[in-house]
Amino acid sequence: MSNFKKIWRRQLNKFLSRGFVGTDADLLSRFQAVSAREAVVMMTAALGIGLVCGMLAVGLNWSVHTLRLFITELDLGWRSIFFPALGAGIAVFFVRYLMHDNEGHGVSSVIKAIALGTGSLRRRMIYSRFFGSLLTVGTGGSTGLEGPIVSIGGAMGSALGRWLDMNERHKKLLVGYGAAGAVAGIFNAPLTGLIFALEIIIGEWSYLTILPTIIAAVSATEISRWIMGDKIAFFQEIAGFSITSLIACFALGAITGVISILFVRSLHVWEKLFAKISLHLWVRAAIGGLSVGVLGYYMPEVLSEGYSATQSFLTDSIRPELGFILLFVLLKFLACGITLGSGGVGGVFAPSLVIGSGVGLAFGMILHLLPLDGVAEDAAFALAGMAGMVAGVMHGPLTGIFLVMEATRGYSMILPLMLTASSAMVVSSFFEIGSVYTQDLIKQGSLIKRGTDRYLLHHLNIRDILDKDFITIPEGLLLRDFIDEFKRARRNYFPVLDAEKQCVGVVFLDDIRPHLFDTSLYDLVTMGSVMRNLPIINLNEPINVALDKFETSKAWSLPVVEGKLFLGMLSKSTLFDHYRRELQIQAI
Amino acid sequence: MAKWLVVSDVVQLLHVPEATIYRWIRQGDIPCVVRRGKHYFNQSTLVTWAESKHIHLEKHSLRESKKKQKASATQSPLVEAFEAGNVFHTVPSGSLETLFSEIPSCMNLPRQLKETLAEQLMQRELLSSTGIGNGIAVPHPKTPLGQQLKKSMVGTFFLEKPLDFKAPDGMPVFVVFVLLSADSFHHLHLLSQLARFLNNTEVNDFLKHSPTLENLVEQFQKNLAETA
Repeated sequence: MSNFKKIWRRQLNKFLSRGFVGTDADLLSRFQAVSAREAVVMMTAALGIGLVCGMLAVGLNWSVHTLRLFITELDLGWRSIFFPALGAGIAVFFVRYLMHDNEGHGVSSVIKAIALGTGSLRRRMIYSRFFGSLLTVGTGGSTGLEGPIVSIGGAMGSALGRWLDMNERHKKLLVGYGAAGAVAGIFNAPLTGLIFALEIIIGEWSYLTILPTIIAAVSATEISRWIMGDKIAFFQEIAGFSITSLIACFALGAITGVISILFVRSLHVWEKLFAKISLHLWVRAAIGGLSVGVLGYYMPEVLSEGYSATQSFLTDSIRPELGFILLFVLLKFLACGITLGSGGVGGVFAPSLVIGSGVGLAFGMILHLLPLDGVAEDAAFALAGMAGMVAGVMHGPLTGIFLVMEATRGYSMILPLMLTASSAMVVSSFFEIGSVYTQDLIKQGSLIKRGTDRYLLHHLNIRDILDKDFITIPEGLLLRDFIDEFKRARRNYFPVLDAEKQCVGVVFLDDIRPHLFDTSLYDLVTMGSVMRNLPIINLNEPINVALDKFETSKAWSLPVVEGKLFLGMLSKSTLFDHYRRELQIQAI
Repeated sequence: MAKWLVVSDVVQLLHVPEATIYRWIRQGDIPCVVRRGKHYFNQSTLVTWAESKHIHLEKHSLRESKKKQKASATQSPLVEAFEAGNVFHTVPSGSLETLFSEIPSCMNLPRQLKETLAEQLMQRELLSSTGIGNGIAVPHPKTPLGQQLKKSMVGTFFLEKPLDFKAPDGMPVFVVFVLLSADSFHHLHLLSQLARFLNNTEVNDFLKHSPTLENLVEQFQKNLAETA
């Protein structure tokens, strides 16, 4: 096995290192050839990941529906309220105690692995998320499969990257391809997979992100269609839109924006509430599951993913009453919050869509009650509401737009979708610093995108760029003896050390230049009396704190210490050199 | 044939710490291959990669600079300059113009420099005398020659008959050291070494005997050993 792995790694390395036959005369073609080979490798890998993720997505979806069907067919009456408790309890026990998977709700960890991490996700995430979400959602937990499947796809990509011993950049790309394949596979919507991966997961548009992601998304979709047939969780064709309805879409966007803020905040509230219960994690999850089960006993539609409810909202013949829809939205809101807050394994994508469709439909129905002309059909607003919720909750307006476009198989909805999604996004980003996935990362300060100032600074290691070609002088050195030191010096500053070899200040040549040739001062002046007290940079402090010290002291070089040990001087010009080099390297 | 560089070469080329290079390799920011656990960089790939990123590479390859360092460690730069400049005897010295026009034709110089050197030396002489006393003068151009000269040289010319250089002590000059330096750092360094060497009565007597290049270098090294 290990030999097999070695052969593959070696072949890959060979392939990547060989350019096309190139002489020194056509140097540029040489680098281009290497880049082209890189693209070929990444596309092939994306194809493989897409196929595997497509199968996993279909497999997960099918298993959940089979389990769900099995449970509903048991028809146990009031006793069915225990199923979500049982499922969530076992799922959390499995995930937390057997698999030791503490990464929290899926997509955040994937985004983190790409943003600042090394592109590594643990392989066990594949199993833990698969069975965790199967048990949670299959038994009725009110959450979605998209979050877990994105983690699974990302972990697959990461595992392949590790297996081939790829570098971090390639591993991160593979994680993104996995996420695209997973979303495309589970929705049977290639464009959605592509846009989701680019907009929410990778966040970078370049040819190495776009082309292979397309391949992953398309191959995942194809395999999902091949296995399950060409169907989508919800489907509706919509006729044209009037001006009145377009204006109404702005309002709908604002409403979904506000609801998405409430939704995301309610998740945090539930999490805090459940954290107060000092019992085992799986007991907490079971308590949450039981509450969801009780809700589900009164309204079974809130259980599980809830796409069947959405489909019924969209279909004219089986559309429920307005009151029922509002109640449904409220209960779904609660059920999803309780499931996720208590630790159930699942995502917020599906609940957002379902709540969005309910809100949109209710909005449409209320519009129809008003004396307005040319209001579009209710189902159209339901669809627009879905896009609005996705934009508001996940800060992914494009994902919302393309998902609904693919669901309606047409172009007719594009304008209302764009309006709703963008106004929802505006409202949501007005109150929230990031999406439901990135909020925690931003608060921790670990969402740092490649190519940004913070990213560059984060990777500069002060220890590596210290200047050491200077002469240190003791505090009590006389000016006369300093002259000798001065002749050997290559810099125009001299760090001053006290008896314990700690840096106490810096003597600048500019300060003492006028007195250098004043022989009457030679035995009067000690170096300690002419040094400047500068802020000292500690090696352990973040680099932006160090830079602030430069700003406030207006100095060109500052002493750097580790603990009490004086290491060297950090100069602004060296820092700039390295900063620029880092920027050049990362420029696309 | 493809030329392969190792990490230490790239450290020199890019002027970044080794740890940074390894981080770039890990992050996939620099094209490289791994063979038997070591990292190799294809030179032409690296050059085009740097071009595409607008990164300036140090043109001097590592091996050359190492050779240079070794050579200079064994010999004093002034000895090298003496050897490059050579020694000439009974140089016609009717006037400053004759002498300065004779100098370029003796020394082994690039053609362009041969044409302009006499003019440059004369201009410097007009600023102030380069005679340093005791019958010795050190003529040199006003500014470092830079690109025109590959390495610094000191040409030694023993004059046919003493010539008045308007030196501070008024003594006519019998030997001329023409200092041609590639850059200002070398210029100052050579000039100070030369001045210290010549400011010595023993050396002065020795010079009166019109020594050959070998004798001159030998005397200088002896002198250097004594002062060290």
